Amino acid sequence: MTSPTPLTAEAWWGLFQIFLVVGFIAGATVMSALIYYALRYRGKEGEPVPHYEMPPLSQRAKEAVVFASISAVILFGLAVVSLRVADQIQYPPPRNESLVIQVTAFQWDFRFTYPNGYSTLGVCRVPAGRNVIFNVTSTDVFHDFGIPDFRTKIDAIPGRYNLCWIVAPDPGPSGSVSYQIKCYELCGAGHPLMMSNLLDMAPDQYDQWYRGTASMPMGGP
Amino acid sequence: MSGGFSIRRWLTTTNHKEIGILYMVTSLYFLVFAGFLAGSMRTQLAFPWLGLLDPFRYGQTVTLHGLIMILWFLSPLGIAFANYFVPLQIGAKDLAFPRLNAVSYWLYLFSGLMLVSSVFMPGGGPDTGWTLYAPLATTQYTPQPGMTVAVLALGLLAASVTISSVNFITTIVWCRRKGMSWRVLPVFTWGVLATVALMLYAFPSLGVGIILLTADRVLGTMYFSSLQGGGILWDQLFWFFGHPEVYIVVLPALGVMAEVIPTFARRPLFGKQIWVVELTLVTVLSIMVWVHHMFLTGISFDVRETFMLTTLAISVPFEGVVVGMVLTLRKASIRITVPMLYAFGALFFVILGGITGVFQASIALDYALRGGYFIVGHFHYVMVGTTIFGLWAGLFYWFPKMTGRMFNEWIAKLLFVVQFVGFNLLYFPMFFLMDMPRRVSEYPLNPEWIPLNLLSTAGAYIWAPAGLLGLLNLAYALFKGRKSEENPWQAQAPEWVNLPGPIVALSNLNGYAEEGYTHLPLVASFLILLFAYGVALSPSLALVSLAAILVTTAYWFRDHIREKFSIVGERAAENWPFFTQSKEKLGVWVFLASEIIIFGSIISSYLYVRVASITWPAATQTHNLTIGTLNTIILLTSSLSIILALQSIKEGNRKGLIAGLGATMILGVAFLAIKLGFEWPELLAKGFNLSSGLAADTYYATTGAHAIHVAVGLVAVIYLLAKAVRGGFTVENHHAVENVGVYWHFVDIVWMFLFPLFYLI
Repeated sequence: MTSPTPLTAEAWWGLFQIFLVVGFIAGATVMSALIYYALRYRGKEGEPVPHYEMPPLSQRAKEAVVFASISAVILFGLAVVSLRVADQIQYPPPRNESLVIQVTAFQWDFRFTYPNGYSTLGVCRVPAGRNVIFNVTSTDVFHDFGIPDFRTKIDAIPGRYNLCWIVAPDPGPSGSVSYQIKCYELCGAGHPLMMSNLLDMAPDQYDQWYRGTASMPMGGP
Repeated sequence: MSGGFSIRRWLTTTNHKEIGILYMVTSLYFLVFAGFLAGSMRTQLAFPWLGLLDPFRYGQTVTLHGLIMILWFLSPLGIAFANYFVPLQIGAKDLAFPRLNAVSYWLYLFSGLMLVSSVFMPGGGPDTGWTLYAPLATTQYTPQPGMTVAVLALGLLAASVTISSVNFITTIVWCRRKGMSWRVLPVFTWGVLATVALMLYAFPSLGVGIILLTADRVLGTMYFSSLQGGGILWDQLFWFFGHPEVYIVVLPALGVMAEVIPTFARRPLFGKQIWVVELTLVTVLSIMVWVHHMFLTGISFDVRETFMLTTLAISVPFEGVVVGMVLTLRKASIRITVPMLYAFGALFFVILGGITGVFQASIALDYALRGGYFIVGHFHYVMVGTTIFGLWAGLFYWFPKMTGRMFNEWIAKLLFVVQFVGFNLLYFPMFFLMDMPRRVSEYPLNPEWIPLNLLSTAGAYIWAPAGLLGLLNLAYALFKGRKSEENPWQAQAPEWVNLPGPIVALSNLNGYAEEGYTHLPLVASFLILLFAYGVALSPSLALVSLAAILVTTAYWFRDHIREKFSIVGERAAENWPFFTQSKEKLGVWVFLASEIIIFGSIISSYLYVRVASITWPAATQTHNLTIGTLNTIILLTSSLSIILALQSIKEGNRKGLIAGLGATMILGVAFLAIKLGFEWPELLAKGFNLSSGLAADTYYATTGAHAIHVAVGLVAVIYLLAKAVRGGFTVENHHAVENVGVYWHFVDIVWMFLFPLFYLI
């Protein structure tokens, strides 16, 4: 994460950290209580059980309501921040401001088809800084089109077109950076090796390459 | 049948304790089997370059591991304890239907063996993951017959589970001893009641998925290979079952923990009534969260938002359940024993597993977590950590009760510590492998994952042998352990206080239905196994075994036909909420509840593919409305005639009974004859057959399922008729007529839905 990937990865990691902190505090509280009670209230084997007056049910009811309210408030807060981030991740920008790439998953690879009809396997070139929408489907079984470094993925399902989108960050001085694309749904014996590459290119390099695709042979079978 | 070991006794038993032991031993066998599968996967992932398992073998291993661990080990081990201890806790002589209980067990065992056999068939077994996602699970992508065999094995299990749930619900509602009111019902029994209620609700949906997938694979229908049905239809059917299944697995363990923790804290469960309410809320909410398994399938945002909220909401009562147990320790007098250690372990893991579960509920976080190892870590903390440790608490807690012997506690404590460490080493690294896809056998481009995988595998090599040694410790104690006192833990629960006796005490075998030993459940279940193999592989085997099943059923009911018998009702502690029902009638009603879900799912599947289809042939052009109407009138009339039969015998009119049943039988036969003799041949002649598209597929599958129910009802009516002719029913004793009548009406009501859906629109 060298440069900003505004709407997916950064927002995702921020949300993850919130969950991590809240989850750690909640878990640590209950676990400390568990460990503290287990150590503090050890009884001796063979000794008579100390007399114990069961507190009235109303006390337990009060405690239950208190605990339920606390956790409900926390969970509601998590839901609200989740929805905010989900909004950012899921709603693609308008199509006319974006590069739309058709992604067709099949056993066992991804085919990428560009607006000019050029189609290729193995590497998906995208320009940095532009909205890229992937229109994802499958020709055979369930697959999942995932780009782990962008914290996003979407199921590739026969007969359905699902969208996911990214903005590739500035690739830096080298002019291009490669990210992994993987299938995240068991799709048969070739699943472990069903992967591809996302090549994030400087816009001018991308444009140069894209202009040349008209005369290029289609990649793959 | 006196004491001592006898194979015959174990093959023919209907005693709940013995069946409990059978369940326990069988489920532990499946644990060891699926554990070896897990070990081989962990070894492959630590050293992927060695190529121990190629991707296809790995796919089969991961599939069998998941299916067996969830459905043939975890859940049945809970059912094992339920078999043994629910009757003891509620003071029942046995389960409500002991012989059906034996059928449940044998179907469970046979289905497991059938699943294992699938791997050894030519072409291999299922390699789709335990979720059997379509269209991967259809013949086009998994042509191997082993896949069909595995699907049918799952079907057998669903049957076993449904019978079990009917049995346990009836038992817990009906067979409680005097004084065992809902208020004092022990928490483990509450846990089991919640479990079996969920089973009854969830498994029919899986059952329908299996029926339709089998139809696709064997008959060539296209529910899951068509674009209109396909993967999403399977997802809905599967996860409607699949998420409740998680709670089905966990609830018995929570019930055990709620028994063990108060026993060794030496004080009652803090606020038991509230704990039960919270448990009930968890159970109810668990049926409303299944879509969170499908967040990325492209379903609408509103739906996802709703299911995110229900999923988060379930955390609230679930946290209450956990906190209730933790608070029980406050100001207690705790004894650290082996069962208590395992219960502590389970509490520890349920906290971690629960909190990591909240992460996946977030539809935003799910974008990155879906399909990766974070989820694998999460659900293993729940399934393995909470459930195994919780059930192990029960295993050690009840071991002296079941065997009369005590295990070596020092060794068991030591092994607990090793297991606890090994477990965390095994599963905690998975949270850091969140980008590693599940179910891959190699990851050549990501060598950075090797160290964490090595660590995890090292944990597996600590965890698994320690677990195995723990079982050997128990096995040793079974034969050589020192004799245990009656109540070595000074427990207060009813199964310890009220009733003496390990397994050798078989004092509770009396009454007609509780005769004790019969080979019929074993024979019937074996024939059903053959039938399932037949459906998968050979129609002639299916037909022969079906005939044999009918003969066995007739033989089974021979005694009932010959003798006049009336059911000796045990008194329930309180009748609420079923005031005057016989337990058979209650059983029928509970069973019908699962049938409602079955037909609900079949009809929903039909509507689903119909709505998704752009074109659909008009009903009026395809179907013969005259024949449909005629059959509707016939079925309605048959409902009337069976009411007349019941009314007659209530008034002591035997001839009226025979006439009414005879008319019902004739009408039922007429319905089937018209359908199979005229209607279907006519349709087939028109080219309306299973390969002509979804309109035909849904018609034959849905009305075919209904016709099978009519046929089953006919068999029951014929049994009633045979018994009525022999004078088997009297004014006081006509429950069977009433119960079959209820079923018959249900089947007619289903037709009232099917007729308009297929013939009119």
